[in-house]
Amino acid sequence: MMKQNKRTRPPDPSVPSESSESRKFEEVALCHLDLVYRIAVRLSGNTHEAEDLVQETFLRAHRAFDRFELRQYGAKPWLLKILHNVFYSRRGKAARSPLLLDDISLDDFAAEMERDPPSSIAEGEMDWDEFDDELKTAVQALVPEYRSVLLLWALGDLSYKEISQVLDCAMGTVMSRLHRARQQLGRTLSDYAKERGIRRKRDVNR
Amino acid sequence: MTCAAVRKFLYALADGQLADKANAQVSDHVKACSACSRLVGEHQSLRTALGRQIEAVPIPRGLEDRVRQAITAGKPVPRPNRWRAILRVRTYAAAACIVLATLAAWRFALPASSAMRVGPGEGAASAVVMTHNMCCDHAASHQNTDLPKSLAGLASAISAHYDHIIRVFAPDLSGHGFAFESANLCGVMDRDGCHGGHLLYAKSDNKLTTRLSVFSIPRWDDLDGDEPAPNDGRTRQFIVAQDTGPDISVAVWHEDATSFICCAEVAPDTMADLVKDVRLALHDTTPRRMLAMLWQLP
Repeated sequence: MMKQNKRTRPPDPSVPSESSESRKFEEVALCHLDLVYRIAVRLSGNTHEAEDLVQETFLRAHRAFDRFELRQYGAKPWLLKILHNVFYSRRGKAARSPLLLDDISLDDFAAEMERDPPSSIAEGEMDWDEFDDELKTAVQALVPEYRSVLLLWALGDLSYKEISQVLDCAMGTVMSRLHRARQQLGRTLSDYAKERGIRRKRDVNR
Repeated sequence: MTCAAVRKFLYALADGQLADKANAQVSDHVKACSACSRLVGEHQSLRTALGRQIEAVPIPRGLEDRVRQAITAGKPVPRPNRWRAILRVRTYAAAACIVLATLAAWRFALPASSAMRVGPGEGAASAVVMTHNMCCDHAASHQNTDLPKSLAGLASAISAHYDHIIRVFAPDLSGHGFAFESANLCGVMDRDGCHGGHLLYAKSDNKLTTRLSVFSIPRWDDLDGDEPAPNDGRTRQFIVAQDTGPDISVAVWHEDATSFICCAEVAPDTMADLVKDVRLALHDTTPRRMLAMLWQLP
């Protein structure tokens, strides 16, 4: 029995199939290169590893491209998922935090939030510009699994569901890690905040 | 809804991840409660700040080309290898890089007011800044432990003390609070022939570390900006603007076939003072004394 061809229409005979594939790959995937690199840098903490990660990511993406269904799954989450797989497989099992393997259900997450509710980082309003270096250091100091969630969340345009798909974990896990990452950042940064005193930002129309 | 009940939904609300029904109830509470609304605001502003930090990561030159090449080749393409430049110049290159062969006369640095302003990414001075920043990023592993092939023929005593030699010749900048940290052979801008000695100094106070680069590379006249290079050894200063972060001062002077560059995130006046001492230190060491020191190793 012949395997079903995934293409819905036959390839255009006047255009060599290789170049139309590579044009499509470029339009769909390569356009996210800068973003993937930036996440790789913030994730790995160094530019050299980041470039290695990015090359490997796009190599794998290119190889898997004919199996990729754009309509079902956005290109950006797909690439970021490959990036994370490459990152964690390079670091090896030893690098994975032993406490974080279990998936967390939404109920567990709710219970967690009851036990350890969100708290404010600073007395006044936090001036993030002033703590730019400290924020970078604090993010770098997080366990990679927490850092991943924080970075994907910070992009601003991935839903919790998409983040859970990228990281291949339950949504409750995403929310829990986000919460814990944030609490840890908060603990680190509130020390700085107390030390330096808080500058109030000018009131912005809400 | 009370604060306690709402708490577990606060982040999800802030991130727009709540289903409509829950959304209305929670946001009604938040609108009326200053404590909860502050938490939501803080959550959102943290997100924005982190997003900005991601955006601020500079894209290295040629990245897209290398990724395309990798795809075509079906395997990774090596990154430009700044940290292990192959030494193309002659045997005593390491010493010659750092020490001037002869120095008839040298001028003091130009006053800071005549420093040329350069935009981010513009010109040769910016290329220097890029190398400086990249080396600082991995300062802990900057020290080169490999021996350049052309020095391999030297007595093993010298090869064993390669790091020691560099340290001995590194100008003493402790008077400015800068301690010698590491030495390597680095390239500027991947240009052929722009590889040379790179000394990194570090100065730490209050958890902040400032680093100073001292490069000595084969002569690179592009560093003079628009003016042609007079062959008088005068120091030129630049202030290189950065997309993120403070200005970086760059100072350059040429001596025959060598260009010396100092680069650091310091004020132009401070750079002018540093350069004076760097030039003084290099002026003191002659090839004769240097060779004598080389052979006096234990």
